[in-house]
Amino acid sequence: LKPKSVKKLKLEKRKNEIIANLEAGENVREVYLNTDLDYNLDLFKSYLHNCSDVIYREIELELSQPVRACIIYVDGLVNNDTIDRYILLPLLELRFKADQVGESIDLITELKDKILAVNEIIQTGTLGELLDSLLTGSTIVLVDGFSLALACTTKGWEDRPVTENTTETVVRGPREAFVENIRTNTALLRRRLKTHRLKIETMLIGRESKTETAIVYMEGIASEEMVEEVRKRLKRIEIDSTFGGGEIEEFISDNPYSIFPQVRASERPDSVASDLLSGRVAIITDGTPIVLVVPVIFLQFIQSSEDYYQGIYYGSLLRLLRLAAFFLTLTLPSLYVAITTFHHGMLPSPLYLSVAAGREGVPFPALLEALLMEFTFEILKEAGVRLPKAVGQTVSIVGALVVGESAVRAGLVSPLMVIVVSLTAIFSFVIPNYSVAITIRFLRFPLMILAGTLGFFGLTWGLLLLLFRMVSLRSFGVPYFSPLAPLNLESWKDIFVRAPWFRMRKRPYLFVRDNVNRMPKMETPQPPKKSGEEK
Amino acid sequence: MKEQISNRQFLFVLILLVIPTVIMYVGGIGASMAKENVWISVQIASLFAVLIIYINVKLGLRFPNSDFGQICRLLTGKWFGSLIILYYSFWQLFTGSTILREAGELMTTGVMRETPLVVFLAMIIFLAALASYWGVEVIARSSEVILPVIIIFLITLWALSVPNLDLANLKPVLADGWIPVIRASLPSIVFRGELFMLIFFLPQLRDKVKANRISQWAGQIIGLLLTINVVTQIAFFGAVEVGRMVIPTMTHAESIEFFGVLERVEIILIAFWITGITMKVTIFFYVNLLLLAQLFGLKNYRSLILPTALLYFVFSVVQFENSLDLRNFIANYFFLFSLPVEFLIPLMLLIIALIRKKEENSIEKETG
Repeated sequence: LKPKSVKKLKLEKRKNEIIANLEAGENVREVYLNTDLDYNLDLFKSYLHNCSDVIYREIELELSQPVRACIIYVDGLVNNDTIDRYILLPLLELRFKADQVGESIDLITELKDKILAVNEIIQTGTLGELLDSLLTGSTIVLVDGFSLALACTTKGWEDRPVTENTTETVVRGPREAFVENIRTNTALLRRRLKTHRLKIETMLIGRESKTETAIVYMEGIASEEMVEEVRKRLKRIEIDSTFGGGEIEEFISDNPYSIFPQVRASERPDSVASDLLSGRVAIITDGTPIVLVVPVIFLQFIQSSEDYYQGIYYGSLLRLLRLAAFFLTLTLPSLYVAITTFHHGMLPSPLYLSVAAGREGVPFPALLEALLMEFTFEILKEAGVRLPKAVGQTVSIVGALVVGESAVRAGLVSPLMVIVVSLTAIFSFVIPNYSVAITIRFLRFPLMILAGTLGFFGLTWGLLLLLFRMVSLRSFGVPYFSPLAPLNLESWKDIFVRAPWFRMRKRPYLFVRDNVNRMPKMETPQPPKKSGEEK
Repeated sequence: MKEQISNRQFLFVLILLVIPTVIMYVGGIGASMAKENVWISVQIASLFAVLIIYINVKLGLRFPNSDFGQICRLLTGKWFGSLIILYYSFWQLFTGSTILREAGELMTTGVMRETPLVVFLAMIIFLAALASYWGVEVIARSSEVILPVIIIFLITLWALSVPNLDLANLKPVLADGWIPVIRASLPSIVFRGELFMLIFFLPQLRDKVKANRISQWAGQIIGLLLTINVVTQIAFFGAVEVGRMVIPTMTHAESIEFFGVLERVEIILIAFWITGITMKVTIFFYVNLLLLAQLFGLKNYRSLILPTALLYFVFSVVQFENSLDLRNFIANYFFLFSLPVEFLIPLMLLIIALIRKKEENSIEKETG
């Protein structure tokens, strides 16, 4: 047998051994390196067999006698320039220095401390740790004769730059949005809160995806129990992967079966930062631009960060407007159905006559008409999201103009119904948060059916059921429907309206126990007193 | 963690426990007996309410760590105590399903004539069961949202009828003497007496020291709202006409026009009333569950929800032939049936406790 095939056989044997061990439940974390470079390389190669993106570069260090070494990295995850200049080059030029110090030194530590010009280096002998680092973009340096290896951080993959956010747009205020890279995201927060109180704890979630997940909070403002609870719930997660952050949301919700979102998903660094300042905890997941914030209260979903940047009257008015739109988008089709089916008497006669004239010749009962139209609209909306942008416009024109107009002309639906559906659609776009908008979209249908079968009684019954459900929910222990129930008038100044900043001295009571004061007591801003001039 | 309710929630629950029915029925029943002097009988009821509330709070606070069942058994012995709880449970079941029936009757006679009665009954009892399943905190929190809305609606109703009020309708005062007024106050007293249920919320109350004050506030706020309601109705229609109406508030809402845009706002009144009555049935149902759990010595009442809900449903269907039957019962016999539960038994228990000098570390002593 030739030496090469011996080696191949050895590798094959070792591979089978490892696969057998893995099946037997062997833990990678308990596999250690040897002093023999060949053995170590075999170890790597057997775990990473059939991984064509892993590059092994064997080199020779010219010390007093040549020492073999090898660097391993994953192509595409690393910055090649960094490896060439700051790892490969110093290693290859090593001979001058090493001659002076002799051979008795600990070469690995020497490399780490004096040679390799890379900012973050881990020195370890555990295969598991090395594999983890390798697969997150580090370069592994193995030296013959040492059972320790170096993992040098050389991350450098393609990233999307920070761009304008698309789901929570504002007219006035910052435009930046989170991106997929967790480090960029933590930096976006750190840039807004330049304080040692901002804590970022990182952990890995996902057995296969090993997604870096950060718990971010303000120490001294967020209550310690809350942070501990978040930690506990995140640690409990045992899933193979998380890519969108939504998996985490489901795992940490208090009532995962509820249709109400119990975690706020945000794309805006400024609104997350202000949430942190009110004692909430943010969860950032690598690979998604959506940051989760807990705990959340229901009425927070009618707030937009713009309310704080625009004037107090504008901000307050917008909130009331949104609340009205929110309620109407939930109930408008049901109200229409209930009134036209059961309670004609509520409308004044002239109005009723025009409604009846519009409905004349429509073959369906109002309920069916409403369900049909709302259903069509939901399909149009979904089609608009899924289709390529260029085609999307065609769909909306065909859907809205052609189908809508022709349906009325053909006498399939009444004009008033089209108005109701369009209004409902427009109202629904006022809701600043997408996840709660989905909830409303879903709830509209059962309410319509209730209103169509039992009139106002059905509608009342449905709304009451929703109320019961909402007051029974909690988000990380905070009552979901507060500060309405349990009632707390003190915090109403930042719920339905927005009080001026100099009047909101305290942080929201729900999330903060100590350190409640946002600012010292100050006077209302006023023009300078004219001194001397008039005396 | 043990479920708790705050003082404000306690107040709101107590008001919401009484308001939905008194607002609707007291005017009609009262005016048929006392004519234009209904408002005086309301005041008499308010006075009695003070006494009923005081007795029940005293009894409850004397044994702050025991529920009602334990108090009964401690004071009157195991068997007689159980008998009392049984009577309470029965009263609760009977009255609760009567209220449920009232709501159903209103819907079938007033708005949805073609829908069968049982649909409404089943749907309301479903909500009551669900809320009870989720616990007392859900009941308390929903009250915090619902009560303000109902009160705002009532105030709007009164405000809109101001132009049509004729205060001359309220005269003469006490033309027939005191007898009809006192007779008319009896149903009013019984309705208000439903506040005795406060004793079942005391164990969960966070700040027990103020229990008496809050409950008295609840009684008087109800009295105030009811007085305004009755006075408005009589000034609006005249006493004779109100006496003929089954539900004067409904007729009142029917005759109001909202700037020519919305007519017949009674459907909105019905929506609010259904909300209120559902809360009321829920509270009755919840207390009933507590009583049954105490009767059978269960730690948790949740296993009783389904059978009790079915009992409510069946009782509300079979109890009365029609709405006339129902009204007759409320006006004439309900008083005798309720007086023991609301007044006599608590009084008896309190006297026994005083004589036998039984008490736990009462709250008043603890706090000084």
